Amino acid sequence: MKQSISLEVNGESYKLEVSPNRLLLDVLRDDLGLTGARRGCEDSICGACTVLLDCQAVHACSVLALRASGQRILTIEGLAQGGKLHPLQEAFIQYGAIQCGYCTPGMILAAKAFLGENPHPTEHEVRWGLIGNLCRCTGYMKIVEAVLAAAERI
Amino acid sequence: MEDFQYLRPATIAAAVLLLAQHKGKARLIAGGQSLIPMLRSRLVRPAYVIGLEAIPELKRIEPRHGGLRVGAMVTHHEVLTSPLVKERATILSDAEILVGSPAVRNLGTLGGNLCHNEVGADPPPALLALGASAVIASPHGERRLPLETFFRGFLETALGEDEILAYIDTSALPSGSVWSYLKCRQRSVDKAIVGVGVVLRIEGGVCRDVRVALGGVAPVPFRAKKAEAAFMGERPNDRIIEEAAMAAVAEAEPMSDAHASADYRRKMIGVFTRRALRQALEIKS
Repeated sequence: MKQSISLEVNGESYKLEVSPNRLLLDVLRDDLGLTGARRGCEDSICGACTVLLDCQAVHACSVLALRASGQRILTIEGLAQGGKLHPLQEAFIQYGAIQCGYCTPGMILAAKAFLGENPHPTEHEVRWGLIGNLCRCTGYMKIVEAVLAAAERI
Repeated sequence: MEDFQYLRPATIAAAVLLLAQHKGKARLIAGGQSLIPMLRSRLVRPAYVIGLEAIPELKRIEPRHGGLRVGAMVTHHEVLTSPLVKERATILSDAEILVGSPAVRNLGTLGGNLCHNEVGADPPPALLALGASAVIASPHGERRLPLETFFRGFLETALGEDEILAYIDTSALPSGSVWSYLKCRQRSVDKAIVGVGVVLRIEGGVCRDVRVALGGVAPVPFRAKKAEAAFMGERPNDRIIEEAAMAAVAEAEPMSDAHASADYRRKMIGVFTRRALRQALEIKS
């Protein structure tokens, strides 16, 4: 039996009818067309599906859509404001912290939540803060540099 | 994932009634970080999923007789950032920071973690070392169970079909207690291959209280009582620490799985028990 839910995604309100077994990731991608949250391991390991739920990083593959009802969701599509990239997005480009790009939306959103709690991190803290996000291209060095640089600009 | 009906009781009493009503066909969901992967892989196929997120009393951390009462729906992140936990059950904070990743800790709950009894979970050895107990609710009332008897088998606990883990209680530690939780793992987000929790107290140079608990090595986390016996009443020194570590190795019956062989686990039980004791005693290695 479907249930009514209301989601606020990237500042826009949506009223949806969902089956209880639908995952937030599937609703974002398949119903709302927001494919920035990637489908990766689907087992809460890789972090490619990371989105922010009331400013906290979560794996959208491991959240029932109906549990997100009434909460504010931020996906990578909602990060740039007025056509201007977020400092984290700019730093990722500047430092070459993107290669294939698959992990990037999750990595940037996890970094955003991390910097929200820890605005002036050390390199070690950045690495510790991003343990839930795997990147198979960059070797992490450039990602860490980008997050440290962005921390200076936010 | 199979279809199911989602129920959201607002009180513990309503939740246990729903469990009793749908006996054998319902599963509780807390943060979902263990249950959702199990639903997805169809390891469990409940007709009803009962969400506990609307029950306020399960979400509190409260002081209790010098110790703590932690509601089962308190998230790992909330445990980790609670000054009260930091002050009264530091070893639990030390273990919680090693649970999964920030995203898992933001949704996953202490109660959910204990109830799934997954091999290598970090909170159980820390809580066993603290001497914590579980407060369990059912339609017939509440019962209290030492956590040592809560874990029963692979992914199994002492919870009956109409029971809910409501709270985890810890008692005050006697002054002078020291502790350590250490974890052997491959990747940062992994569960423990070996997790060791140690709480002990030295008075007049002699060990007066000691609890050593192991996780990750067997289907059930447990107190290493022979290791404790080797330490109790002794003056800690390198030889006693080594004897306690070897006693822990001898009494464990480690298993082999995809993460580590029994032999490797046996070795690491010795290494990590020794390190945990040394760290608790602030012996620099």
